[in-house]
Amino acid sequence: MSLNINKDLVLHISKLARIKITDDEVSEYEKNFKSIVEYIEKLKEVDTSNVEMLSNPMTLNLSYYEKELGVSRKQRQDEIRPSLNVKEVVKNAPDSKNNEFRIQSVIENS
Amino acid sequence: MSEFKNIYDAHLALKNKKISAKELCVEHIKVAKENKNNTFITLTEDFALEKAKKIDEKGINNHLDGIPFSLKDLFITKNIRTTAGSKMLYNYIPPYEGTTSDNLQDAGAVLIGKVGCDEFGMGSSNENTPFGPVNLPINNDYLPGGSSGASAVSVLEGSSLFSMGTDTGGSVRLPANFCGLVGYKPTYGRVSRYGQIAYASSLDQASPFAKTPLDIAMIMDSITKNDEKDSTQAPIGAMNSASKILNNTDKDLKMTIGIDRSMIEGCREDVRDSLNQSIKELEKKGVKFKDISLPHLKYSVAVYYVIATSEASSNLARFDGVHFGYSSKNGKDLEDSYALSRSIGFHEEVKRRVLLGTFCLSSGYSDEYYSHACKVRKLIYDDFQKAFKECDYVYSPVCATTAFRKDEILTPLQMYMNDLYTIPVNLAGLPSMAIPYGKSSLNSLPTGFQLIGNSFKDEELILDGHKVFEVLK
Amino acid sequence: MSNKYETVIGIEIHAQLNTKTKAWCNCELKINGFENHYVCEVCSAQPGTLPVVNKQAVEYALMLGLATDCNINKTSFYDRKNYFYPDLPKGYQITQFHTPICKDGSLDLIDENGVTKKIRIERIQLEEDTGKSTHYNDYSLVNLNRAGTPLVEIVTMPDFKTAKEVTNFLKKIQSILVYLDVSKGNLQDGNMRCDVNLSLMPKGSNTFGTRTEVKNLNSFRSVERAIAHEQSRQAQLLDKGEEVLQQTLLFDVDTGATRVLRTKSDADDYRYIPEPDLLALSVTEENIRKLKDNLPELPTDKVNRFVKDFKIPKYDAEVICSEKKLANYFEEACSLHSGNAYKKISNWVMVELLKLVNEAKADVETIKLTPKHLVELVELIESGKISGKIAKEIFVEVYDTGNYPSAIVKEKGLEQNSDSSEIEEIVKEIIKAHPKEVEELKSGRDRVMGFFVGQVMKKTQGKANPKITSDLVTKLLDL
Repeated sequence: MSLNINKDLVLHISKLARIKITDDEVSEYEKNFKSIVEYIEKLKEVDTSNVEMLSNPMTLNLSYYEKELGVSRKQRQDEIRPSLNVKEVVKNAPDSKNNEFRIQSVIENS
Repeated sequence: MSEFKNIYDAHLALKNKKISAKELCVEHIKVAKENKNNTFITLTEDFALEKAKKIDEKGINNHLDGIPFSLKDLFITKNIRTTAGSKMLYNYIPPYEGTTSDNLQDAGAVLIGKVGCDEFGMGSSNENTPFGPVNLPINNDYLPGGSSGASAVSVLEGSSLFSMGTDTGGSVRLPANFCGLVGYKPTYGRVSRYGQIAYASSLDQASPFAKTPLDIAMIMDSITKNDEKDSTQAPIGAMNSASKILNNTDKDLKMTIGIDRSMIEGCREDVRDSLNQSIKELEKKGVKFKDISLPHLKYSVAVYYVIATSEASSNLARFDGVHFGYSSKNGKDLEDSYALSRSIGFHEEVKRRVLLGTFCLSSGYSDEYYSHACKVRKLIYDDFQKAFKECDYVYSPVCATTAFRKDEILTPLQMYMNDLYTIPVNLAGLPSMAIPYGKSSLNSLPTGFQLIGNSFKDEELILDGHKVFEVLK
Repeated sequence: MSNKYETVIGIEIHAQLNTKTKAWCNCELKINGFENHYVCEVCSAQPGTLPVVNKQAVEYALMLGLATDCNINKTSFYDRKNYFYPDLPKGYQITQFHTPICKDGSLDLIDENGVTKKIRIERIQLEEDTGKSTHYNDYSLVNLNRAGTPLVEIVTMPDFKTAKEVTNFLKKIQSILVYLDVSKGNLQDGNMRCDVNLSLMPKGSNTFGTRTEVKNLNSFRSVERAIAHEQSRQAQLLDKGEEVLQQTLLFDVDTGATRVLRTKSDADDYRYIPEPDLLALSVTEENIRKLKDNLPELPTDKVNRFVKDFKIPKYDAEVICSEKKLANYFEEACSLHSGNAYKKISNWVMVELLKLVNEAKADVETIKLTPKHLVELVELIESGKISGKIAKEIFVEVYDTGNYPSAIVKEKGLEQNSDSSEIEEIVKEIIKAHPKEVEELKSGRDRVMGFFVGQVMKKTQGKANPKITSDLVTKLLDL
């Protein structure tokens, strides 16, 4: 196997995914990961040179339909429709204030 | 249990005033409330009774008028709690209505409640959920399969005449197969996904459970309207398959079915016997079987677990405890709270898949895993397209075994392998009907197979599926 | 900065599109409306929701691509850029990473010496804006009115060498956005933002150094200051033999310095994935042709037309056309004018009018001094009814009050005196009083003529016609 799955990688991924894992879990995930990734590795034996990516089957189906039935893909006219009532927007929020979502302080960085 | 075996029977009884919509509703709610199998997460009794009353006042026109049904809790229902089977959305009350729920209620169907599932649809056993596992009504030592297990159980136990599940890698066909029901996975893009909580967007498709293909037709006719809110749904309008079945007099099985026999060889002996028997019987009735080869299907599970988890890692990013959902207040800063909220709000299998998907997309690995998997996915699609040049449908097992025992402990990878036969259909975006046939000689549990059609041949598949179902009955 | 190094700059411009609704839903675009009142289930990323492309936003991006000589991709794709931030409710931004809608464009910059430089545009992509967080002492509040606002991102090649080139380019893009009416293009209001990528390399080298990215600059001044700061900061590092780190920086308007937002490689892993909820965007030849045919006149075309039709210098036309409203103002004035004093009109617009408008930060479209007022003023001068001096004096009054120049002239009796006999009397008086100057003039010192005209003007409060006055001096002294 070409890939070295280790604790550091698992921790790095957990940080990227914003999922906290305990020390016990790290080794459990490491074990799961190893076996799953090892299994996925078998895809490498497939020669995919000159094969295009298929990320959504509708892309292929729709081009067929556009040709056969002349239907066109969906786009929206630029027309205003009512938004939700603001109470509905924030009703499921864990915390809110004056109709805004309230969160712990963040340092402005965007 | 209700005296009516299926939607069509109930429809005739309603139409002939042998029973009222309210009486039918009460019968089904009664079963639901007995709660023998831990089927429901949220019962909508008052809502259902009011709807039934309205139907009685209005009279019976549509096939689904007054028909009690349940929704997998992945379907958004406005002002009715929708949990996705997760602690994350334990108290989530949607501020909008999902298209499938809207269409079915618009067609007159009566929503009895929201049923359980593997959290966010991730699982094959309906065990991966804080709401607890669901029993297989015919034998409580077994599980109904997943992820839409509780949907299947609600039909089987008689608390609903049909149920909507979602099928991402087999989540409807597998439980249908384990429960002896018909499960139908439409062509990707046939049914709107608006208001269906996403697991893997390019694979998910709303899929009904019912007792017969005719019932499936009635449901499909109601949920295939064009929806301007889903750009990946084909803009080709609603199906009209039920009346075609009802008006059809041609009982001939003039169809060619392709079969890759290596797939049957991979099944457990009891299942294999049952499948071979079904083939023999269909041949007797005039069906032509043709040997085909689908060489890339053996990579399906690997491709699926790269693509589905990659998409899931992105789809589930919105659950961060800011705008809705579970939120931990104990983080030392916002970043920490995100991580805490997500690690407490999500169950183990969801976390595993989100982590795996994050890995597959992370820089340095994305080309090797995600992009490569999408290319193998194209090869799987091409395998099917080649097959459909020689046959009308492809015959395939649904699962190598019958329902899982409750005490079976499988590793994640072993669990994933159970979807070997159902996953290719989702990867290629094809329609497929799981048809029950026979019982296992080993444990007397239901067995069956699936018929896979080409893209957007939904109507043909349902019509022919009906014929096949009727001759095998 | 020491001149050991050559600066290499590329920029990314984000511009909010002028659509009525958001990028993926029908919510009204009203960023400054009441908090969260312009939000629906889609732009608040409620579970189960899906985006649908706003047709208008796509057309706007195509128009911009056509106006900047881009190649249009017949098929382009949407991607998700995954990152966690509270004002990004989906947890990803929908953008176009792999195949954008437009690519390989360019724009010509003309410097003050008339030298043309081509700036290459690598790509123009469609994407969406985030919501807005407001920060308080111990918490932050998130408002999603802005979430899902359609944006175009314009990415240039590293073709700039100076801050001046960058700001000229920005102004040019800004004016194109406004001419096309696809964006308000205003840096200060945040509907246009600029990120600067800058690196240094030793003079004569052709290997780029490590670059830094300064994000979200919201004025031309900030762009210039940030570039100057990065040039000297990086030069100092290189002089000391230290390494420039590949970093994302923020510019602090108060200190004029940059600070590190993040160092590449740590959290900068966006895990791009094709957006499975949107299909490929397809554009037909016919779409493109239609848009091309209906494309509004662009600044360069207008400049050329003004030079040709109104015979004004190219420089004048460039200044006037840099702002669409100003160009409209000028053109309207020219069309109301019955003569051909277009150059005079352009002088008044460029000098007197722009001075007052800029001082008051006013909008040319709504000022009281309309093109009609200006034309009347120019024609009063042309017909000899008032002097240029008087005209300048009443200009401010016209600007402030909106009264017509002819009315002011009449009311105040400012009309130029062209009555020869009246002026002759005054000229005689002046000649009598200044024998020394008479001698000088007679001996051939022509410049002294100005003295006599000036004296007459003084006596008549500027109303004497200067041409008649100088003719009379010539006649009476028998020159």
